[in-house]
Amino acid sequence: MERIIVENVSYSYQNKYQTIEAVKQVSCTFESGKLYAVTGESGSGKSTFLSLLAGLDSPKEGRIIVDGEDIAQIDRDAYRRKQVSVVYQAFHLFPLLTAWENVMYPLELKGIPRKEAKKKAAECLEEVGLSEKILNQYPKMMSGGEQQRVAIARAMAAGGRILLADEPTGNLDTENEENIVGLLLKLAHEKDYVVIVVTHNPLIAEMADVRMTMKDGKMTAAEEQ
Amino acid sequence: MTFYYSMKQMFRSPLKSFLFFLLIGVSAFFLALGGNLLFMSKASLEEFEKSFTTIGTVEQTKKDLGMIKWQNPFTKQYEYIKDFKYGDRIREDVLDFEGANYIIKPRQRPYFAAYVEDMYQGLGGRLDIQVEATPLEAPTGQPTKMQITKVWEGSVEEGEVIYITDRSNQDEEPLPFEMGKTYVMRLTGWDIYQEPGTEGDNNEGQINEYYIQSGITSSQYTLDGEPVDDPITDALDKEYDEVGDIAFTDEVTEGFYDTEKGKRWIEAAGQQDHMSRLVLVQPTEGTELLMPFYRDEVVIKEGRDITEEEYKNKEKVCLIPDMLAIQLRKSVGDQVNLPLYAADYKGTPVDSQYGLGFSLLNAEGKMYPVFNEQEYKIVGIYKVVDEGEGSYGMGKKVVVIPWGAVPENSWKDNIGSFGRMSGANTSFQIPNGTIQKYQELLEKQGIKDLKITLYDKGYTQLKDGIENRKLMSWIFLVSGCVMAVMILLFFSNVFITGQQKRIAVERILGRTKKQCAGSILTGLLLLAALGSIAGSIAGWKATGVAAKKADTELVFDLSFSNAATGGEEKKDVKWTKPSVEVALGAGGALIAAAVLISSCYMGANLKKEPLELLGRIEE
Repeated sequence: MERIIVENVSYSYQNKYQTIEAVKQVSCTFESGKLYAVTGESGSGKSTFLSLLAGLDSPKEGRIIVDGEDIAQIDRDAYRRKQVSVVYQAFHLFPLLTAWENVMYPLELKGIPRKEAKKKAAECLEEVGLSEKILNQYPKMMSGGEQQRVAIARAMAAGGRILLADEPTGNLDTENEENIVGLLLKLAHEKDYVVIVVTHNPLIAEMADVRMTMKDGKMTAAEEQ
Repeated sequence: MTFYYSMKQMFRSPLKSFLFFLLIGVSAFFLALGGNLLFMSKASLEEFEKSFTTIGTVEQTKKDLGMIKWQNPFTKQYEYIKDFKYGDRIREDVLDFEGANYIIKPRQRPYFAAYVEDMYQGLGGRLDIQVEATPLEAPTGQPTKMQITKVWEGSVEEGEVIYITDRSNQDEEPLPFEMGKTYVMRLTGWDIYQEPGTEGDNNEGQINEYYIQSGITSSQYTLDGEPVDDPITDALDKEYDEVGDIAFTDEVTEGFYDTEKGKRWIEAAGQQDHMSRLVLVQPTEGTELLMPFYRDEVVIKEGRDITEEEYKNKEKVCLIPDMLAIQLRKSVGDQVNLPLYAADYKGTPVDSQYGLGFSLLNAEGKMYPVFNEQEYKIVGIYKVVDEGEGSYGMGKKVVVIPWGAVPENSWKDNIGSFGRMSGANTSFQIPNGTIQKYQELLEKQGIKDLKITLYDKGYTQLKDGIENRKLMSWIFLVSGCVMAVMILLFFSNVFITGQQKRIAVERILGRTKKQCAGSILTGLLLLAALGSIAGSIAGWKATGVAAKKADTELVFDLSFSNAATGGEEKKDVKWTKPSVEVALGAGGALIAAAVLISSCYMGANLKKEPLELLGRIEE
């Protein structure tokens, strides 16, 4: 089922010296139950493309339709709160909150009572394979792999079933890298998530259901694997 | 949730948070202390401005000191009495210089003599009498023993034997009396002479000594202080100048009382009656311009003072002394009728409380007629608690009325005495705190032979103290403000800009900008509020302590000020108490500043898109 339709999306921004056309006329679709790997060289526009999908910016041209709605026309805060979650290479956990609280955060944001949020957060953390002893630890006390799992658990807790990941394994060792890739695949295949991963990691590219390539802001290839 | 995570954020960096709380508290302390000291200083100054009055007295100083020789005709002993010599009269106009900025201009004020029928106390005293008498022995020197043949005025008996003297007679010549003749004269009782070998009971052998007054000479001046011509008085004065001491008597012959002089003697015989019914009336532009009131030697025990409005509107109201109120059977609210017949620019009421020091005959030889008669409403009854010094005292039967209640200069033909300006009859008012400026300007005028004494009851020193306190307040306020702004800028940067990543992640997770602001600012503002409240209360309490200390120092300051300005009186001052509202206002202002500054920081951070905050991630 197509959940995301990208139609002729272009995006440019102004830096100090020039206008950079980061994304040019990109059109593609994303379905539930698949893991998409977006690859390309540095500066090819893949992270910007991911940000557009995440609703962190609006396309200058074209439109992104998620579950039938143009995200430019809807409340993008609510969109990020309810439909989409992003995982970054640097994890971006709240350093002053425990693993548990980090995962509870998006739930409480939605107005779910603390007790219920706590229970659901625990389930998400269990699903990403984190033991109970991690729950009350602060990010600084965890390994990179554990932090990324917490980040994924937090994304899961948000519940939108669209998971965007920007180099999620960039800071991880091989073992953790494999674990995270496995986790992302599990989310796509077992939990029916749309998982879009921007990556240089050949492992993810190989394991992905669809491999997309970007060059100079354009989507040059999209291969089912 | 917002509160919980916000506070959690604050408490995860306890040192920073505590430092922020502490520094905000210190800023609030300075602000509350400075604000309260400023408030107290301003309020106290306004209060003191109302309750303090700065007045000046003007006195024409003596140029020379002479001596008058008096003799005791019985013992032939001499005594010398000081005789101060003054130069030409200086008018109060000389003080009307530019920049003087008078509230009430210097004015040499007369007091008025009123003839109040109800004051009658008897047949008159023995001290002032007008009689006809004949010598009992040929005068060979002084004294002269005479027998009273007719009483015109005073409580003496016909046939009474008296001694007549002229103690100021420098030549020691016998008085110009001839045996077998009768003389009319006005006399003042001086002493009682005990005839040698006659001491006994019932005043046996005691003979009263009387001193000859100036009799039928008139005393009248113009508003400019010039004597009004009177041929009879002029002739007597001329004779006095040519012959030296003369006795102001006239021989009574057949038809004497039909002559011009004789008629005057008849007219003069009413003076004792006027003295018996004498009430003195002091017009003034302000009660505080009268030294006894200024020095609190006089207190209003019933009713109230004359109000500024009544002074301004020249209303017919008055203050009367308690003893006079009893004598006249008057109380507050009653009316008192004051027929005014003479004005005195020379003496003061206290000098004249037992009788006027000038002849009541005008230049036409007539008793001064009433020039103004009005009813005055008694608004206050005062009591003299301290009789004061010399002419600066209040006297016993002085009615105080607003200047202008009697039409200006309506007394121009009834001025019985005129003299130089003295501290007791000439005063003015200047704005509080301008003594130094006034003195500098006065010095520039180069006015000679005038002594200006300024009284402020310590206001100048008090004001200086308050000005110092205000400066201190401003230092506290400015330090508090600068410190508060710096602290808020610094900690906003730490707590907000330093939390950019958190803001970005919250935004990515779908928090609205408003929610983000709430999440970041709640803890910060809560700490700022707590610090502000604690600091403000501490500042408020400290102001009370500081003010008490300042009051203790004030006692010394006041005594110094009094010595410098010549006012020995000190006014009890009541300081305005520290205001909790000002303290809370300072705290509130600080909280408002915290909200403003942190909101600006927050706004600036929220303007950036989450990716910008994280640092645009580009491959």
